[in-house]
Amino acid sequence: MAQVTLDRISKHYIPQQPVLHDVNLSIGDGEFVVLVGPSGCGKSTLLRMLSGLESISDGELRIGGRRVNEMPPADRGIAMVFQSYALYPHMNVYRNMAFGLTQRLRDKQAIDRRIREAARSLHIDHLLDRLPRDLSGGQRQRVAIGRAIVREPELFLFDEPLSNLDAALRVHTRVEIAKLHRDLKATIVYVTHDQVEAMTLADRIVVLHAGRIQQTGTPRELYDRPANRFVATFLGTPAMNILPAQGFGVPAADVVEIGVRPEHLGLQPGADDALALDGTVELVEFLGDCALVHLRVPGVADAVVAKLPAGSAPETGSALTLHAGGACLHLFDREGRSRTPVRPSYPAFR
Amino acid sequence: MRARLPWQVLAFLLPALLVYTTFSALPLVDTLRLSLYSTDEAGRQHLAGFANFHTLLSDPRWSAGFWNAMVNNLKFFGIHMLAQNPIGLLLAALLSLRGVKGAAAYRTLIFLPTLLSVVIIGFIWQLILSPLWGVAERMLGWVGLSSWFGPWLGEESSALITLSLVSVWQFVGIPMMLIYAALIAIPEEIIEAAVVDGSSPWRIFWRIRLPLILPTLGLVTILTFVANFNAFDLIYAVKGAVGGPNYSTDLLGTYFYRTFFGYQSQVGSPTMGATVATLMFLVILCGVAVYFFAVQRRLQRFTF
Amino acid sequence: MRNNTSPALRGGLVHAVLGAYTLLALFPIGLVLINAFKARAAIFDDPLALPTPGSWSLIGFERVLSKSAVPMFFGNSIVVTACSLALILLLGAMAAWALTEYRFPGRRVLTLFLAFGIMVPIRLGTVSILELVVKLDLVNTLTALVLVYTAQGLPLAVFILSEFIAQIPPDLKDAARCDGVDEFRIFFQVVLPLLRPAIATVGVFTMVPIWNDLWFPLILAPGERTQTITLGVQQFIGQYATDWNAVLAALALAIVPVLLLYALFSKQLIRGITAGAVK
Repeated sequence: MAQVTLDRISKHYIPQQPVLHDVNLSIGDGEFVVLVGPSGCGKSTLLRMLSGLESISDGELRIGGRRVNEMPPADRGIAMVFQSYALYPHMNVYRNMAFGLTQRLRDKQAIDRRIREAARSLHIDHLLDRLPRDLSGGQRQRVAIGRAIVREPELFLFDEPLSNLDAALRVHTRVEIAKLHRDLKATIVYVTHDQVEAMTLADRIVVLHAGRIQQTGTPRELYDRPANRFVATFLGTPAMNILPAQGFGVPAADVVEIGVRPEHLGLQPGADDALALDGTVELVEFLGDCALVHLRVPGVADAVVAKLPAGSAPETGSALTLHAGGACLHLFDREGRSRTPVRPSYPAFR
Repeated sequence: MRARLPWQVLAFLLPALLVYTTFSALPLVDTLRLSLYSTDEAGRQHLAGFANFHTLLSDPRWSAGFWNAMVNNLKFFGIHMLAQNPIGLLLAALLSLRGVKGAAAYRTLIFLPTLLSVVIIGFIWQLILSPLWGVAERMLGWVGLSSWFGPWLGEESSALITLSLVSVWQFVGIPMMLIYAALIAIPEEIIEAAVVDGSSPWRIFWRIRLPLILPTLGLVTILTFVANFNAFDLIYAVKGAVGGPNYSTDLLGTYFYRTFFGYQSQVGSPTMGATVATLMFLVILCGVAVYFFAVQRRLQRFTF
Repeated sequence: MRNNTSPALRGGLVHAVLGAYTLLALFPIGLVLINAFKARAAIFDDPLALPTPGSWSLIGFERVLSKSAVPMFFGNSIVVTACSLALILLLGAMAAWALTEYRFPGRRVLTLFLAFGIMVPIRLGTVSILELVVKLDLVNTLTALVLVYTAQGLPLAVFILSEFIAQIPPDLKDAARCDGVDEFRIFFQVVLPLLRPAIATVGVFTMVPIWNDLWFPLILAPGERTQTITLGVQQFIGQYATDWNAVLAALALAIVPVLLLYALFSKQLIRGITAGAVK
């Protein structure tokens, strides 16, 4: 497995209009890195640059210590899993997995061994004779993953592999990919727009927006200490509530907005009570174990959402006051950068 | 889909069915029927069973011409398969490559001859290849082959091949377009997967692109087959209904025309003409049947 | 496997092949057009040269226009092609609609019946078609040509239009039915306008064979008043084969309208073909 280094990487199709600016990233051996962001942020472009399907306009890319900017995909030691699986429709599963191998290995037995091993680990060994069109979506995805595994690459690249699957299958396949990472100790770069996938799979998350890295860190770091407003509102469902700072009495000089997560709003003021929101309950969404309460607060554009225990859910239309402790507040300046002081104590999830 | 009052369906269907049946389907059936009749000197028709077929296929006065036309037609088709489809495939493959500047312009221009009438094309090439004008001779001289030139259209040994190549020249646009459409329908990601797998462009073409366009190649083959065995216009325009020199360019289409209408000393006979048409029909039917059989069995269309 | 040829070399080769074939495809046409405007001597002296002020001559055109009714031929071709296309589109759309939208006994048989006409050439039935046309007293009329070409073009048109109709969202039709609109209005006011893109595809596959056809004009309507441009040019050249000016001019006259139309509509045409080809 290899280390991957992106050194001041940027990309433009039209000069003066870069789609990726100055990306710096270091990926360690065996690390699972997820590139996440809204559509158009450049994450897929970055992945394709890693694979060699797109050229690099500026900067240097190193895989395993070697500069690979000009190297064609085949020589970089990578394997890629595509969003639409990209299986060869006229070849059965076995030949799909064998296609890339037959060029490099002469030993038919070695090829056969690798294919059957991978097929077994992915539970597709009974499908080796079938054509892609006779397989379900989930099976096709596993064949695509199997095709990547048999190459024994230094680096795995996944391009939104779960987007075409239905919800239940997505969860299931996600678990399989996590197991794959653990079993193979593979270095993986994974692209998705789904922050749940990012949070659950990644060793480290890279949040991208408009061609720039917004923040890099573990899921915990990004969730608890987002570096800016974008990362703060991108991760977490329901999204963090953003309130204008004035009117809610938070000191600090250049703070323009306050953020507070739905799970940190409560009905009772705590010892550290710093925020009190008076409003009318607009909507209550019952989720089984908890309830999402939408509170219409004067002075705040969107309804404030709080996650409360199911039992204490209020009535629609009633007046309500929500409280939050000072340690739970995120502060943002005019440019959206986080001004939150570092705090030793940070409340756990309820 | 719903079941509805039958009368509205009829109203929608009837006009088309009427025209089609009257002017296409029934005449074909009637032609098949006519082939079983023969005309005597007085112009009367009486049922003769398969006598016409027997005459056509074995009586030397008729069969020599018929089999000559049949063999010529097969050669005509053979040259198209050898020249038209590989060239069309090559052009389509080149046009479908990524990043070829002006691909659209090439495509548009190469397709132009296909739009012109076969008659016009035939005349143009007749002029170009004419020894009188010397254009072809001069152009061959540019590549040092001027000694190679001859009155190809006028010589028995070369006339058919020359006319076949003229036809290929004109119609290459159609296989080119059909194959091009099939090539660009292959999703880019499949090709990218092969690139990441480490395949050279050559390997990608032979192992991935070509197998996936086989159904289109089959379609092109059968279309060429039907068109070739129906061909008439080019020969008639360049060589007249007689398919000279010495019947070397006579195809089934021109043979049919002469049999039906008569030519110079030969009197036309609708019933013998119908017999020729019936045989042409059987040949074409065989080809189409083979095509559908192959399509059902082997050439499967892959949806992406 | 690494590629040893440089991209530049490959690119050059591609352009060389494509360019060479394009030249091969165009030069005969260009040759005719150039020489149609030259005096007879210049044609033979230097066939490949462009007409100069010295060699410029319109004599060929004068002869063609005086000895044959080229404008009338064009008119005939236009009438036949346009009328056939209109009928094919209207009748074809109606039939395609009936065959795809409604389920009724015999639907499959009728579809197969029509599909047969795609593969089997209509010319095979010419003996009987001529008899029929004679019986209907339509020899040497444009009507006969229109009817025959409509029959020729309907099967493929129905096939192509059926594919297009199948893509119309069923909700559109159901919504109209819920509103109580009768079937005819649904067809003419909802479905037909949505078929406009299909016109390009059907048009390409039907118009070109009709315009360029020699067989049926030769057999059904060879009379002087009803000759189409294709037949007219063929007859003229057959008659005046030694008059090179006239021959070249006739060919040029036949080519230019097609060139112009192609220049104007090539994009739609090619789009129509590639759309139809996939189906």
